[in-house]
Amino acid sequence: MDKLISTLGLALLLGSVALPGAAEERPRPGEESWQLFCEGCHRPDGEGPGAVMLQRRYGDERMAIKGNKTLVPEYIRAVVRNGLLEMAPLRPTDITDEELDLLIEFLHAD
Amino acid sequence: MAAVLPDWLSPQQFSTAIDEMANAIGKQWVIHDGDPKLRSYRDSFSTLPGDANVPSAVVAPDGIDDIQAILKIANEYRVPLWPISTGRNFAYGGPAPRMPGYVVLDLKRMNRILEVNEEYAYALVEPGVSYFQLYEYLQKNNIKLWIDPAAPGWGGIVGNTLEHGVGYTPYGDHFMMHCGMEVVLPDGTLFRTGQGSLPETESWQVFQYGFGPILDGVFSQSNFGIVTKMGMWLMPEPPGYMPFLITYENEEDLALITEVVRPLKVNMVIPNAAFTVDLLWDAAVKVSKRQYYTGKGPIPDSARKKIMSDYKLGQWNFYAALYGPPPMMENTMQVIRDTLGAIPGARIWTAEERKHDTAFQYRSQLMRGEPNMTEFGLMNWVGGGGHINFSPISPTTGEDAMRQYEMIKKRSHQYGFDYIGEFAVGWRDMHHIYMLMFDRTSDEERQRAHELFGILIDEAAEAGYGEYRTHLAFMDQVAKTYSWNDHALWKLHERLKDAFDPNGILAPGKQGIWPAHLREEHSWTS
Repeated sequence: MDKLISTLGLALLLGSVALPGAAEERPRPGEESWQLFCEGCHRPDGEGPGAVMLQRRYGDERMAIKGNKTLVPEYIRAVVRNGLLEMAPLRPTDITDEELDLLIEFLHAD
Repeated sequence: MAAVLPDWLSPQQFSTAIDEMANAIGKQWVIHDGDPKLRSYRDSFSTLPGDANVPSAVVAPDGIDDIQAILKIANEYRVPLWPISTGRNFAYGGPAPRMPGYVVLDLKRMNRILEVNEEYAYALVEPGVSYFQLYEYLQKNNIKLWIDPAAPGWGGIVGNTLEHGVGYTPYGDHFMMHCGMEVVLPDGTLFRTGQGSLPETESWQVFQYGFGPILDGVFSQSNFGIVTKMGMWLMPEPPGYMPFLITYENEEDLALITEVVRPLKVNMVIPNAAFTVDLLWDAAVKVSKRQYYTGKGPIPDSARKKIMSDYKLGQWNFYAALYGPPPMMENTMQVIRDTLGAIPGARIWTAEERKHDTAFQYRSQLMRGEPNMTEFGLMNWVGGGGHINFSPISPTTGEDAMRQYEMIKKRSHQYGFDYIGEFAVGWRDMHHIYMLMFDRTSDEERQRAHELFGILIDEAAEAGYGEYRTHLAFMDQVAKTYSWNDHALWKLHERLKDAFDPNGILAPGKQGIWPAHLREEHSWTS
């Protein structure tokens, strides 16, 4: 039986229980907004469609948005709300104005 | 700037209705009156002009009570509501409504993960939950279950499932894997499908059928109700995972690949959605077109050959994966070698051999349920994000695959666009996804793409191929092609519409289903 369990990877399942639902913390911290809405396209390692396009247009130094303080808050807000080229806008239900400020703080943190 | 309103609604009626909705759910969750944030609800990528289909207002409820209050007001003033969940249905319309002036009912605030059951391997979620959100939740709580994300992963579980979206793991037919819904009808009636109607049940998410007619499908790709909760089966993490790629050298290999894939899928030798991907689809996540060709029109064959050589890609690139105990995977892999690997010119690649390949890596992630955004990098092929997907269905045969490929490629080239496509075999069917990519900054090119798309719909239908999903702008045209017995099915949809939504407030025109008061203007069924 032990071999069966380990072979099928069932050990954890047999001891599991139903988990209660998750209520998200709001306002959402900047890092979590980053993970949900930004990081997929703007990966710091230069991968992801946004990072790739910025690298092709502006070179290695400006391909990252995390830690890039040349991107001023007003510009970030405008791009987030209006979209830019391949980037779709984020709606106020995706990220509130307050959460957008927290995201900008996170983007500018060292 | 004054909002564009539906022509049956006066500015005074609209204003009163919006004020009442704001009183009901809180004015901070109602956007209107020319607020620039309304622009975030447009479709940024379609063949329509930039500001087409902008809503007159947005209301964002957070729960059943809010939704019922909004519906009551909407019924009183006949305000058309357009429900969205995560609003990422791009290539098919994104968050934008079917017609300008509708009020978007934005369900994104309802993003609770209500339950994850590891023992029975399911989740119960609200419509605003995205693939990234559920994935992060499972990771943080060390739950050994896989999701089946769409590509890209910014979309939502409920919205994608209701639109009949497909994924990449063995749970890739999302609607097949849903289990139980909670729905609000346009008149405010709240009910649950399947076992969910039994008050003391603990089986809502483990048994799909309940007792009596199965209504779940009625609320997918429709405008009959608002789905507020949905159960989704999740795949237990298997003890082994083996993704692979097989490259093929010739365009005509598509016929034999498809013939060989059919028995492998029908007999479930290949457990997940099997994708045969055209060269440019794979190349476009790595390079821009202008890096290989700066002329007008489709990229020439000489450049295609250079891309194949530079990136060790095939004209066709077949992706699938095996799951389970390693001895089982090894045995099945031998079957793959003896079948798909035996097609002349085939080369099988392992994960180790393609570990630095962006295309292999993102597909490998998707086939093990890890959401990512890499596929959106396809947009960098042309730049600017203009794209719309043409997605006809056929049986899984080599003849159908070649016929569709040649038909669409010919038209695509005639109109000056690259053919960028893939064939996905779920079980018995084949989804052909042709991504029509264009430069949105050129009105001429955008209009040319629009014209091409309309032609493809009619030519495919004449050949017996219907789309499984389409952009807002083409919903009526596609619906008209499902015309057997004098449009009997759409006439039935209209009868259901009248029964569920007599005032015609919910998503008028969604999927070509128009309410009675707009039928004379829009419908073709009578």
